[in-house]
Formats: sequence, structure tokens, C-alpha cells
Amino acid sequence: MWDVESIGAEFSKVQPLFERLGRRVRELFEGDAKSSGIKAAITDRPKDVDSFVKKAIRKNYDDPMDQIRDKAGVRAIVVYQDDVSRVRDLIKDRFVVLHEEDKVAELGSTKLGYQGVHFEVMLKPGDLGEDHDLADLICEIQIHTRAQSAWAEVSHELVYKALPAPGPETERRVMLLQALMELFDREVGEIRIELLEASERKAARLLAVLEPHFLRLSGSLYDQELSMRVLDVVANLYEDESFGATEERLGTFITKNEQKLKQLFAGYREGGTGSNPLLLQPESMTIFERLEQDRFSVLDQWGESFDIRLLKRLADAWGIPLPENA
Amino acid sequence: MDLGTFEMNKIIVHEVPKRLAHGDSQPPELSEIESPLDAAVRGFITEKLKETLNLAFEVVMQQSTESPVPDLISSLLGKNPIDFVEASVQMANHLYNSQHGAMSEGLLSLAAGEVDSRLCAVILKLEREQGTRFQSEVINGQRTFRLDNIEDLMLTDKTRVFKAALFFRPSDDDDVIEGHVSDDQRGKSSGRGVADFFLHSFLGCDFKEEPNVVTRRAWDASETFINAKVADPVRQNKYQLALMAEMGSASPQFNSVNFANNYLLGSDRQAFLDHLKENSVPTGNFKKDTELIKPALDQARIVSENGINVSGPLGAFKDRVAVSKKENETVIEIRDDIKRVGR
Repeated sequence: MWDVESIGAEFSKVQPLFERLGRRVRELFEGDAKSSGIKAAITDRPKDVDSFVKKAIRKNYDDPMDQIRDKAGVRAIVVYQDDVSRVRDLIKDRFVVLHEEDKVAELGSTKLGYQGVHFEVMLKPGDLGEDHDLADLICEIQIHTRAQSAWAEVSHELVYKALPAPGPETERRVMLLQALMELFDREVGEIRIELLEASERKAARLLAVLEPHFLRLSGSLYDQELSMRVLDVVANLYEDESFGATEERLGTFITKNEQKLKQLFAGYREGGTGSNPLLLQPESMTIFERLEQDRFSVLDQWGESFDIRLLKRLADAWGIPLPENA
Repeated sequence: MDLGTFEMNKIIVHEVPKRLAHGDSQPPELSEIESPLDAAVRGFITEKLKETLNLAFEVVMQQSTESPVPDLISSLLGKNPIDFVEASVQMANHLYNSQHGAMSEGLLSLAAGEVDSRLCAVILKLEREQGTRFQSEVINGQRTFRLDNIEDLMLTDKTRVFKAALFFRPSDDDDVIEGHVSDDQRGKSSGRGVADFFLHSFLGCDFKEEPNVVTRRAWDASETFINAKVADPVRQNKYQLALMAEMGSASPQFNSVNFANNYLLGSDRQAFLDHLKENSVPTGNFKKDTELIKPALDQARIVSENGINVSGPLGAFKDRVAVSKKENETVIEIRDDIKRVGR
């Protein structure tokens, strides 16, 4: 039988290891998410000694050091429900998976409740580097959508801390909130797809094509509203072809110039965009493509909408001379 | 060379004063180590170098030259490179010693980096710039802007083209070094001596191709484009006259991007550039030498489908010959008195 002081002391000896583990798992996971063009907020949550001991008491564990599996924890919050399965695949590729729990699948079709996907993972030997002391240590990874994450926090306050315990009417209202949260996620995902397919705003469709490549190549956030403004202008340069043809053209261009784009984005990420603010934006890739095809048409479209110096700086960065009196 | 892949990694700067023909000259102020660079400064200088080298022309190192620069560059880009600082000091001293009175003082910089994933060296010659800085200040409780004169600027946002040369080995073949030089052409009013100093005397380089050969090729490619790829006769005439005017102008350089933008219409502009590129005509600046095309510049000419020739001096042609389309027929109109008929 353990006591509070000894279990606390035992965990505090190893707590720094688990903190490093959580950080390492987060870094690897973040890198993979960026490379795959998935937008996710990924954080690591080191468990402090106090929380560890309280959990041991609360759950009445016989062997807290073995039974508490989230001594290191990482949480990934994605925007869309569809991204959950993509993130699951990343985790399975990157880590040794000891346990996977899909809370949604467990609920089945008749129940509502906490949702999310949980993993217990270990680092693969190839990812240990010099941190051999992290081998065989377990880290918990939770995946939530934004709605699920918000609900997890609120429900914790509402349900678990409720004094006295909620009556049937209140429980029913909580269930309705859970249903609403699940409906929110589903509708957001489906509406997004419908809007993109129906969108007459070519800029939105272009951005949907460009964004995953940009996130993968730059690892950088961007100003979405600015992207839409610029792409509204740039989209006119593709009006002679179908959207499918444009998508294919951009895909080919980005693949062919992947190394150059990565290098350019890395340089500006390090040094700041300064006088070249459009460079670390997804639309820069489509501007580069259009400049290579016909720099004069880009000039014609651009001059009416934006400062020509912005275009000139992009062109210089890509190595395309523009007319000196542009 | 894809200038878009250029990255600068380090730079060293030396101050090279004017060397007086008579009297005591100040010696160069030489740096002993590279300049410390943060990411923002590196990014800014890289941007300016790309901007200026976008207009560069291709050069080769002279086989025999008094300039130490070709050997220094070969060494810097070789398997056992000379020390970077030492190379830059030798270049600065060479610049100082080879100057003559008309040369302006300035800064000589050597930078190293990569282009097309290959090691490159870049030489820059810059002049000091002056500027006035303003900063918000409160004096005696009242708000104003303090103005300070800054005399030690090297590069500003407004600096357009300056003298820069980039060298790199495009392959592992030791003998081949590719060079690109941009020149702001200041000093052209002082004559050939100043304008050519940087390329020939300092760098020890020559144009990769003789300017008269490049000019001839540009002319031929342009004429072929106008005749074969421009369907509208009105445009054909307009473009021919513009080409003759531009080639015959006093400007020492020809820039096909500027020409296309200034004189061609619609999709002809990019098509023209693509056609020149297919015919190995540079898209940056090239030095113009019309020696081989002089006869063509003297007379504008139109030859009709049925063999009717209309020709004349450019000036007269522009003023007195008009081409138009009327109901699917091309009309060539000459407004002039007849001087003679027959031979």
C-alpha cells in the first residue's frame, strides 16, 4: 500500500523525464501535422506532482505509478471532424501505439457523452535520439475537435463539480447540449464541403487548394482575409480554364518547385517578411506560377488593386525581372 | 541560373576611398572579420541582390588578366578555398590600386552563399548613401519630430541597381565558372573608361558573347517574331518601328522585358519574351552594339504579299506611312509627294 508522501516523492523523481517526453512527442507530432498540411493546435501538458497524487487518491489506484497512464500528455485540437481520422493515421505512423480508445465509437448510436480519441504511445527507437531514458515511457495523446474540447471543459465544470448531483431534467438538458455539440461538428464539416463545391468565389476554392501545401512547406500561419482579397484578383488570371485544370496546374508547379518554395519560406520566416508581406501567404505560390507564365498579365491585373511594389518584391524574390517602369 | 534560389550566408565590407593621382590618399579601411548578420539584415541584402542581379548579363573570366579577382574567385569556389577574409582584402586592395581619378569612393563587399544549391561568391561595389531620419520626440512638453542626418547608409529600399557580380560553378567541372554582372552604368557620361572599369579592369572579365553578336541575335529573333507570330499587320508595323527606334536609340543597353512592356500589346508581350528565350537572347540587360545591324536600322521596310516594297528612313516612315485594316484588307497609306517614278 502506498502513502501520499512516498508516491509523491517517487513521481517527482521521474516527473522531469515525463515532461521531456511530452515535449518530444509534441514536437514530432507538430512536425508531422505541418508536413501533412493539417491545421491543429498541439500542446503538451506535463502532469505536476500535486495532480498525480490527487488522481491516485481519487481513482483509488493500487499502483498509481503503473495505472496513471497520462504522466505525460499531449492534446491535439483540430478544426474539422474529418481531420480527426487524418491525425489518427499520423499518430499510428509516428509512434508505437499501445492503446487506442475512440470515445465516439464506445458511445454507439444510442448514447451521448464525452467525445474524443485517446492514444497511449511510446517513442519509436529511431526517434529517441540521445534521449535513451525516454524509451518505453508512455505518453497519452488526446484528439478533439474544437467543439469537443470546449464541451470537455464546460462539462467538467457543469457535471463533475455539480453539488448536489443533477436531477433527471438537468441531466436531459446536458444530454441535449452534448447532442448539439455533436451536430455542430457534423454540420460544420458538411457545410464546408458544400460551400466549397458550390462556391462561385474562385478565391475560396483556390485557397482550399493552396492551404495544405502552404502549411506543409512553410509551417507558418497566415492572414486568411488578406489571402481572399489577393486571390479574388489572381483568380481572374485563370478565367480561361476550368477549375480542375487550374488545380492540376498549381499542383504540378508546387511539386516542381517544392525545394525552392521551402527555402524561400524558411528564409523569410527567419528574417521576417518586412517589405515583402505577401510572401508568407499561400497566394504567393499562385502569383509565382502566374509570373512564370505571363508576368505582364499579372502586372495588368495587379496595378488596379494593389501597390505594384508588393508584386515587384515577390517577382524579385522568385527571380522574375519585371519591367523597370512598372 | 535560377536567381530565385539565391541565399546569402555571410558578407564582409571594406571601405575603399578615392585614390588621388597626386598627394596623399587615405588607404582602404579594411575589415578583419565578417560582418555580424541577423536574419533581417541577411534577408534585406539578399532581396536587394536579387533585385539588381535580375538585370545582370553573363560574363566570362579573361584568360590572362592583371586582376587577381578571377583567381580569387576560382579559389573561393574550389576544393581548397582561400580564406574568405583574405580574399576580400586582396579584392579591396586591388580595387584601390587600380582606380583612377574619375572613380568614386565606395564600399567593396564580398558575400558568400548558394544559388541553384551550389556555392557562390558575390562581389558588390556600393557608394555611401545619405538620408534623413525622423523620430518622434517631446521637447519642453511639446511634440515634434527630430531630424538626424545619416551619412553611413550602404543600401536602402530606394537603391536600384548597383555594381554586383555573382560567380558560381554550375557543375562539378572545375574549369567552368559562370558569372553574372549587373552595372548601374553610372559614369557612362564619362565615357567607356569608367563604365567598363568594373567589368574589365576590376573583375578581369569580359562579356560572354560580344555585344554586337548578341544584339544581332536579338534583332533577328525580334524580326522573326514580328513576322511569324504577329498576325495583325497594324501591330507588325508598330512593333517594327518600335524595335528600330529602340535599337537605334542612344541607350547603351537593351532590355527585352522593358521593350515588351513599353511597345507590345496583350499576349504578344510574354510570347515575345518566350520567343527570345528560345533563341538564347538574354532577358536581363545586355550591352547594345548595332554594328552588325546598322543597315537594317537605316531603312524601315514593308513587303506586301504581292511583292510591293515600301521602304524609307525610319523618321520619314513613322511620319508618312500608316498601316490599317479596312474590311479584312490591309491598307498601307503613304502621304508624301512623288519625287520620281521609274529608276
